[in-house]
Amino acid sequence: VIKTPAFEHGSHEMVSVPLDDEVVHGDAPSADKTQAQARITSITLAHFDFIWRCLRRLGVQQPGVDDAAQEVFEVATRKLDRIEPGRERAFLFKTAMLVAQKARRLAFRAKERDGGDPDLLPQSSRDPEALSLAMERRQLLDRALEGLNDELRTVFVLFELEGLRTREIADLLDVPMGTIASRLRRAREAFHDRAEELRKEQRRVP
Amino acid sequence: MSNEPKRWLEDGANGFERELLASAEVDRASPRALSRTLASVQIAAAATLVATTTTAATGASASLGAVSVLKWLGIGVVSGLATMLTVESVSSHAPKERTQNALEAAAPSADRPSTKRAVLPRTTTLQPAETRAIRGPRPVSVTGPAPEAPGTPPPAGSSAEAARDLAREAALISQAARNVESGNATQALGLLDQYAREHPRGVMRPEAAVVRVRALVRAGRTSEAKDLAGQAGAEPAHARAMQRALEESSARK
Repeated sequence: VIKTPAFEHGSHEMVSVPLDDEVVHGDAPSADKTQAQARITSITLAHFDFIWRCLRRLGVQQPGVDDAAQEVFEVATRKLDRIEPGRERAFLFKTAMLVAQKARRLAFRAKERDGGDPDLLPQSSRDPEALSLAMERRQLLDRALEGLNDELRTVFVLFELEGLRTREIADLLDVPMGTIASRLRRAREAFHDRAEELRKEQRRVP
Repeated sequence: MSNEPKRWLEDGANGFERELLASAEVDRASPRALSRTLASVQIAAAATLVATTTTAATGASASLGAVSVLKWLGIGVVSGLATMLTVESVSSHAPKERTQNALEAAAPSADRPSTKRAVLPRTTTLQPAETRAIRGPRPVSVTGPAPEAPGTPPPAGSSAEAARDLAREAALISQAARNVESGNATQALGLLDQYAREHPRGVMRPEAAVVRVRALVRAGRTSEAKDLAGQAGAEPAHARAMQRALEESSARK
């Protein structure tokens, strides 16, 4: 049985995750198996939601976010012995940035090849009548964030949307805190300009 | 006194900007996405461990031969099955693999992986029964059409519950696969029936379908195995695994 914390769901209690034979026969798992699987399970449970949200907010469009998140954790699994304890989130986030870049490139190529925008909304929202204001705003947020370059977008997302402190962001990205503050200021300016453009565009739409 | 800036949502953003920022609240991973990733990484972790052990001991790569080592370590046939499927996937998805290798080369603390990967096929498609599962997994896509099936909301529950469900799924399929290998096909089919009842939307339905084909072959119910393997839409790796089981059956005759 793996004891692992459930950080992302409002509880820090340890939960038990039975594995494989334990469920059927109550067999004791091997030590190596338990060690590797316990660590990656714990990492995944602790950081999956954060990484999933970051991928989405770094520009990976639905329905590709699930696959992108899985890719991040698969990379982490293969490099598990290289991830320094305590630096798991930094490793995952840097990997997520690379995965997001790749996903955006593929989406851009697909858009050029096929024309038009990819379908960004869940199937259930395709009916125009069913489109909620929240989903419309979410699409506008995507467009506003597209106006920021990668450096600015990353800091903006981590600070404004994920609620990380500047010290945490500096640690995550391995850059000085002054640089984070500067990027945040420029990111806000860029976001403000882009949001203004979108707001004017909205007003023109009948 | 802290130099920490205030969040825009608290102070600074105008009304429209606040609306945009607040709209990010809808960004939530589904329990299903977490379950699938947990399944993938646990299998990959086990397979990596076995591959490392095998390489150290014999110099052999982790491939079909690793299955017996998997058993020896108590990791289970499901992991071996996943390895086999991955070997198939690697050969049939070379362009994706090249992209993956490029990603790994750029990843932090990057070392080239020394082993074959055991990766659960990715899917976001929901389907109700195991027999339909072989149609389920779809290739990785970041721009394709929305895959959600109408009327099939993601299961509720915490990540801990998702992990427990996943462990139960893996255990049942693993046990069924072991029964197939030891010649107890009837018991294997019973376990697979139990899996289908208890996990009608399980994330490992494609793997369960492969094990069922092997069990049916071992039970001499070849025509049922062929029917199941012949269902359209199986992921190439799963289809080949089922086809191999059928061919092994023919070879034994």
